[in-house]
Amino acid sequence: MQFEIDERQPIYRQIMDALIRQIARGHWPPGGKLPSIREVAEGVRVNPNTVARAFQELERTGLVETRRGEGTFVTIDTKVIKDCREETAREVWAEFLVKIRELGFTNEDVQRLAAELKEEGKR
Amino acid sequence: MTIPAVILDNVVKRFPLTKALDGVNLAIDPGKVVGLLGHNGSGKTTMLKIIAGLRRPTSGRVEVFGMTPGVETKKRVAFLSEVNTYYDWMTVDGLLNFVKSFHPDLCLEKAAELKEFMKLKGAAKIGALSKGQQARLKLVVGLSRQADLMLLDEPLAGIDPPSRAKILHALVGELRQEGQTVIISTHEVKEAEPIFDHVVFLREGRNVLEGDAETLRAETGHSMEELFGEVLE
Repeated sequence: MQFEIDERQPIYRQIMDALIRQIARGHWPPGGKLPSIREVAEGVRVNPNTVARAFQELERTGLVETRRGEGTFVTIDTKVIKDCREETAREVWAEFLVKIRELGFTNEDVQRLAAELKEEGKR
Repeated sequence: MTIPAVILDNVVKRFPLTKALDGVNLAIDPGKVVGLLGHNGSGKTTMLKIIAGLRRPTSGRVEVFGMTPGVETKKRVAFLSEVNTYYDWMTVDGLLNFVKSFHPDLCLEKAAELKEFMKLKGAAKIGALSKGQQARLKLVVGLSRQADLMLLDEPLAGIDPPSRAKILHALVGELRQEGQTVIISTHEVKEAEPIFDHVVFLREGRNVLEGDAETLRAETGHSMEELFGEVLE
């Protein structure tokens, strides 16, 4: 796992969000094993303690479980993954709405834009 | 409840003409990587020496693993001074054996691994090493000890900027023993930013700001580097 970290925001949170996105899109399948804390720490170039914190928080969401001595695994409960995916999508959508409303777009404008972009995508 | 690795309770250190520490309060949990951040002359070295048991505070209470610094704590604490104190005529391996004679916890296998990482040859004479190589050698010696608490005073001084981040990451990652507490003093925060769990900003002998790095990021929306500028300028 590699990405640019924003040092103005909690780093564990960014690692956690990145893992959630990867699990949501199936990069780590249900029941699959996540990379180890050390592997992630080396990839993202942070302190392993920070990654451990991300894993702990992730475990609280029920998306993953840690088996002592074996590693951390994605849940086999696909409903939990689906719910998390939906919830994350809603957050992304809410962020999008804030930005688009700053441009003075109404809900109707957003729908019109979506239809237009859909047409363009077909071409 | 776990015993904190370090407690400083209203610690004051006076020298004849100056007050190096002016009432420092601090508690560090074991296993944390701590950044001791401040400009030159802010009291960083004095604070590390007091924790190492090399100096006594004028007043206040100091505890290291629940004990007053002394013979017992020195077995568990490694202090890497910023100043080079090695003999020029010794070789790298000669020095390691020499240090092992009074610090039996020095692990020669670990030292071999570290020498390779730092690209140092065992047969090289210390006097013939460059400044950067001497800084690396100091890290080899310090990190080879199986100390529960590692105190590093400006470990990056003398090391070329491109290598700094790499060495720092190894230091808190693969080179750190499980559960080891590390306190790193530095006035260069940029490279070290993502490795600290806890930061202490020291100014004129007082810790003006201190806390969990992630909590500080969440609360202020600033990086540690930005806070350094804001709090200490």
